[in-house]
Amino acid sequence: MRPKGYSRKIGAAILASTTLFAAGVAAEEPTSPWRPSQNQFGITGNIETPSADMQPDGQVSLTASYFGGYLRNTLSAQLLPGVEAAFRYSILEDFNSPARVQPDLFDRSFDIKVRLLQETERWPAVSVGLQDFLGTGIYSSEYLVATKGFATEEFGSFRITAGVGWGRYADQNAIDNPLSAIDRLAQRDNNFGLGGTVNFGRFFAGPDMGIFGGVEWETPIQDLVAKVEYTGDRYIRENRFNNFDQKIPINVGLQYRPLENIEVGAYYMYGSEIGVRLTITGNPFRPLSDADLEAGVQPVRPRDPVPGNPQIAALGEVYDATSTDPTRADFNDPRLASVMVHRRLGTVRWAEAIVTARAGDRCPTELAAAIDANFGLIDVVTFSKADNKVVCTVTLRPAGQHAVRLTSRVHASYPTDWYDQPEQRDQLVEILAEALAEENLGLIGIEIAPRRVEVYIENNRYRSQPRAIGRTARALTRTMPASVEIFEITPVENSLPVATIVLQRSQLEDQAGRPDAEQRSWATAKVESADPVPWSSLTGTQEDFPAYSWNIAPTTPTSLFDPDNPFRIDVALEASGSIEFYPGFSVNATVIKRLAGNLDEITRGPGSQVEERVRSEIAQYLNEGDPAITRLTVDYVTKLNSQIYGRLSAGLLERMFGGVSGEVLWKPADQDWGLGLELNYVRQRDFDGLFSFQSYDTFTGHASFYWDTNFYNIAMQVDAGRYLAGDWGGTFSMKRRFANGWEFGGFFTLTTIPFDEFGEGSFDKGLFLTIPLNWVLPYETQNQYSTVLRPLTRDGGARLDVSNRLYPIVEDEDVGNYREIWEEFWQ
Amino acid sequence: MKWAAQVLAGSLFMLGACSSSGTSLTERLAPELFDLVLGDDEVDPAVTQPLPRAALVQIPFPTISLQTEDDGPIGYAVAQEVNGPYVIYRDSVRRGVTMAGGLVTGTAGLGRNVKAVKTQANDPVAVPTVLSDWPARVTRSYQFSRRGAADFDITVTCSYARIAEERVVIFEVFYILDRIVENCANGVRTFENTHWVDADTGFIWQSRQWLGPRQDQYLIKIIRRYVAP
Repeated sequence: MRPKGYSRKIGAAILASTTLFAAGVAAEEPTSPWRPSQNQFGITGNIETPSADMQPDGQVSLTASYFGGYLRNTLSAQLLPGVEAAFRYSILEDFNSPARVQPDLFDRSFDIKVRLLQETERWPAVSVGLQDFLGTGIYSSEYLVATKGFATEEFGSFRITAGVGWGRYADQNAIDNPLSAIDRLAQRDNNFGLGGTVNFGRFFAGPDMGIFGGVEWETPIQDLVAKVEYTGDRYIRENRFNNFDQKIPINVGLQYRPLENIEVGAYYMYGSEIGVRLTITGNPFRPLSDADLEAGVQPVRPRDPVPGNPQIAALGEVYDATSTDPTRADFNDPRLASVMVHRRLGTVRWAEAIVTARAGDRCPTELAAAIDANFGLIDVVTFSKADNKVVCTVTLRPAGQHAVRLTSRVHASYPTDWYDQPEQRDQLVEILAEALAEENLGLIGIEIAPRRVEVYIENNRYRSQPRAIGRTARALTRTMPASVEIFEITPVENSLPVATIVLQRSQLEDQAGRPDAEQRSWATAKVESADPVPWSSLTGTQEDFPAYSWNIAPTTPTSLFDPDNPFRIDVALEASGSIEFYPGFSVNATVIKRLAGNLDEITRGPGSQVEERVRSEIAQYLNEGDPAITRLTVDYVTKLNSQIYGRLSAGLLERMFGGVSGEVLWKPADQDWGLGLELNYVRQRDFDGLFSFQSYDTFTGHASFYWDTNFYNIAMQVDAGRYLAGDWGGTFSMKRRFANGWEFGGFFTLTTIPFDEFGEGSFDKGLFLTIPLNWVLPYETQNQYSTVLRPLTRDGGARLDVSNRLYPIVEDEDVGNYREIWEEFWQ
Repeated sequence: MKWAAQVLAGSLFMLGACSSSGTSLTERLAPELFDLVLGDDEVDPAVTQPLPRAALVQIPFPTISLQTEDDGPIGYAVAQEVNGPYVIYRDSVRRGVTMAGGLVTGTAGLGRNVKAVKTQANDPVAVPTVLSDWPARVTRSYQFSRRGAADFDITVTCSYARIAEERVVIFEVFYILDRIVENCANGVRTFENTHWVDADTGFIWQSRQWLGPRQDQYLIKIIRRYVAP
């Protein structure tokens, strides 16, 4: 018991600091950030030269530009707020000697630009960049560039860029390279060999350093920008056979954005050429459609209070004093006898005050404010008389309101006699299955107890799993008897129960519709690794198996970057079917039939000295295998315990190999990293795509490390082991993942095959991009567009293409990912 | 909109797929696209005419009407749940609003939805207050959800002006109500809500409310009010 007259605290000050709305803070709808333009190389810049500006975080752009016989197609991405990267595929007409069979050059190149300083009111932005740092080096150059914006009342806004460059930027009007004082940087090696490797020694090297710069002017016409620039690039290599006449090192032009995501430019370049550019761009953070035309959510159905609930009686009449002036009462008021403060429901500070007879029967709400001022940060006060008869309860803060609501709900004793009637339980399952079907969710299994229910759901509709879980929870509040207080919801992914989300019904009832529902629901939800499920003992499972499914869809296999024809495409029909005899145990088949296209025209050989041609015989597979079975497997996936998953597959595993594949993955749901091991014995399939095999067989397999870094949602993966051609090595992959399903990233593989044996490109590498279709559409769908861009397909570093690897199935089902996307729980 | 639907329909036809689950994009969107591409743009005049009160009183639940334009289509929603201060109204296709007092604090199925509204304890639109006790101004924070992107809040301060006492007809029933104009602003935006209030009880029988930056204002009429037991 704390005596009256204890040192006073300034409750009013605390109250003021915890008022509902912080003064002066005006929350508003986020506006689209300013977006600078791309240049002819597809990276942020002026016409040909780069600027220090960066695209908005996450921006992905596809740029096609053309001038003077040079076509450049660039995929660029703002990997991080200060890091921009690009992959470019260029066709340079007549670049080679006219005497050669193929005078045109097909070139792949990578760029990266890093911001060193952000623009301020006084100082410009400064960036450093490497152009064509990983390629054949045709466009090889480095630069240091500064850009500053100015706004004038008379002429509008300008952005002025100035920079120094090495390599191509130092072709003309150059100055001495100050870095050439370092011996290693005095000369620039222009022998790029097979390309595809990072030539660190070349960066910032050479006797000269060029200058470049330009001005961009936002004209009074909306979205029209005028540009002028000077560049030190003379196109020396392109002009070896007199096919490009550069008269002046200056470019001028206009750029226009007819739509938010489309940009076009037209330029007069180098005093002799007309150039054009088209950029199509998008940003994961800004969906093309953020509307939501899904059916609205069903409301949470709160339970009726139990008459005579002792918890409610213990509160008395409840008053809200969250907005009461705290200065009107005195803690030394003679009506107050004593005060004791407890912590309840976690951190709620709950005061129990005894009042004297002078208080009468009226609730002394003003004394609650005095108690708060004296003790500091009291959330709720219950007043009682000396004989323990409760007078009332006064809430002083939202936490107190919440505690009172919960107290009256959570301890209610609802009857459980319904549980003794099996037919009533069966009826509940039926009603729940119907309610979930209305939400386009499947009920795979359910286990009901008097105060707890476990449900296993299948979500083929909502990209965001919390959305499916939220709708399931709402359905449970509407269907389960009042005594069922705990909801355990387990989404089942490819027959694997990955994580279980445990929710308290009374919390849901209290949170629904309130402004803090999202935070509170996350704070009170538990995400746990799901235990292996004894499917045979679950209600509802028996009727669903064996389960049949099929799918027929058009597909468009492509071949990119073949110098004979850099873009080939087929239109084909792909039919797949599955019989799942028991959860996790299935037979799966996929057949593809080509309808039209030109993939069968591929004639290129392996292009490497690798003995085992495990991937480069694609032309034979396409020519001789139509239709082809691309998968015919018996598969079994299961959970070995709550944190370990297992997979066993046998049959025609992919188009080129068949055999046996086994995998084990350890990935607890509350851990942001995991370990995997995959072992395969495979034999190369015949080109006809049917059931026969060639003579080559091998053991292949990898140990894998998966890590979600929690840094800008970047996920990393390292696979080390033996590849299909018998080479040993490792693959390093990194991708940035966005809450709405976007992904972009890259990978490279280094193996025991030397670069010169690997062939052009030196080693296997590539980029991947995934765009979810619900970013485009106002409806929920799990469909997505995914592509892997490999500059070249070679035999070294080739990995078996198994359809149902475990990590992609489970990677979204962990605490970190749920926390990231939990805001969809109530949608 | 129709041209976009036609382009989308053409694209989906090209990429069309079908499956045993019926969850392919083509299967999902085909019926709605069919309506958009081939359907009639004209609004059925019948849905713009109010239902007779005699028909509405047959509904045994608290009922409201929703309308974006005075002469536009009228939707009807009934109270499906009551949870604390919130009354949740839904129509037959699960669109609807959640109301605290006369304030819409949530919407569902409207395309761009209000997730919740944070109000002061003395917000007279959320807590029925005798008109003479209405505060000069309140601060209110609207929370919006955006599918596939971060949610956001818009916080505004609202002040009230009593315009006039008016005779208002709500589905054939006459009320004498005070028209209160609520001006809300935050330095970036301003908007105006109008409430028709029973001065003695503070109950809002009719209101025209802002529900978001890219949402039409909604005219809400209380046909049968919810009375707490």
